[in-house]
Amino acid sequence: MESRLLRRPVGTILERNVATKSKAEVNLHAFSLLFGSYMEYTLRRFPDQQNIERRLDETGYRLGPRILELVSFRERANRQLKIQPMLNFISTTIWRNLFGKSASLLKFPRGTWGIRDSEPLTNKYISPNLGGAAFIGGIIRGILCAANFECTVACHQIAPEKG
Amino acid sequence: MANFARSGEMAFLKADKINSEIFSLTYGAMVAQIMKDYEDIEEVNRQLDRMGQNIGSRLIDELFAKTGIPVSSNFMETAEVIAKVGFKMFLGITANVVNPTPQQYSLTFRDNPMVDFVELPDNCANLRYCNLLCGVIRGALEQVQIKVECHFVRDMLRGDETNEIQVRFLEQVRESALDQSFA
Repeated sequence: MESRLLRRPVGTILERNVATKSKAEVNLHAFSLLFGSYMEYTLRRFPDQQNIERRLDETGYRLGPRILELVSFRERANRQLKIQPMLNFISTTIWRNLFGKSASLLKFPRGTWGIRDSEPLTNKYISPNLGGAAFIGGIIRGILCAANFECTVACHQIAPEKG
Repeated sequence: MANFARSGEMAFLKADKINSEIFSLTYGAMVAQIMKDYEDIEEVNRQLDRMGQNIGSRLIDELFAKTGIPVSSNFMETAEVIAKVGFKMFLGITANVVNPTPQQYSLTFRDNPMVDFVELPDNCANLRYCNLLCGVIRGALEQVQIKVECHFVRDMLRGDETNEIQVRFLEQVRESALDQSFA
């Protein structure tokens, strides 16, 4: 551990302040190109369509716990123990942190909830039919699992929309 | 020169933007997923490069369309365009061109929005995390009929002072050969 620290030059990860959100921005096209290229990679490796959604979901899932930790720390949020406040936290605070806007939370019967975002980031320049929104579904699933809520997340497109 | 910097700046200002953190987190998750797909790190580097190439070949259209820079197939000129326009327009950072010669040049940059929160574990010492960028440069230059070889010589994730990408000129591609590369 010590040798590791010594090896690091100035200005790297350990010196970064994570408490405030970084102001740096990148072009949305850069994100879309990256995402599109990743989808192409996935399709090349696992050629059928079912898989691509599962894989994007899995990739998004990796982000969940990290995002939850980061945003809770920054916003000094308490841990949510009930599902409704938790989802509320996701659809407002986390959404704002990630995408700069909030989404609307919908309640369906039998313990089902929906988060509606009329223009998800992953579908902006990429055909929504490819199921890119599964990535965001994966993020939500990751966050919920990290917060100890067991769940399944499905993405639906109702016109241009995801839930 | 100042002209290029300005075009890059303008294109970046006009573009829709997202926070760099979601970008780097996403990229990180993708790299992690690819690492899971291929056990071999060299293969991961290759896949990242290939993904980049794919991006590069599309990105260049947008670069010319949005900035109105004249298309040039002069190798030396591409250095400034990549460093001042490409990097600025897409990633919001600028790179410096170091040691330009007709055969090769290096691009150095310190801020990198792809590596927020990233630390390479010891077993990934050979992973070139940002190899995607090399692929992007190669793919983009291929579209203006320049074949290059591109790789990281210094990488801040591996403890270097700065990031340095070396771009080496290979050949000027003829139009007829170009068709083949699309096949």
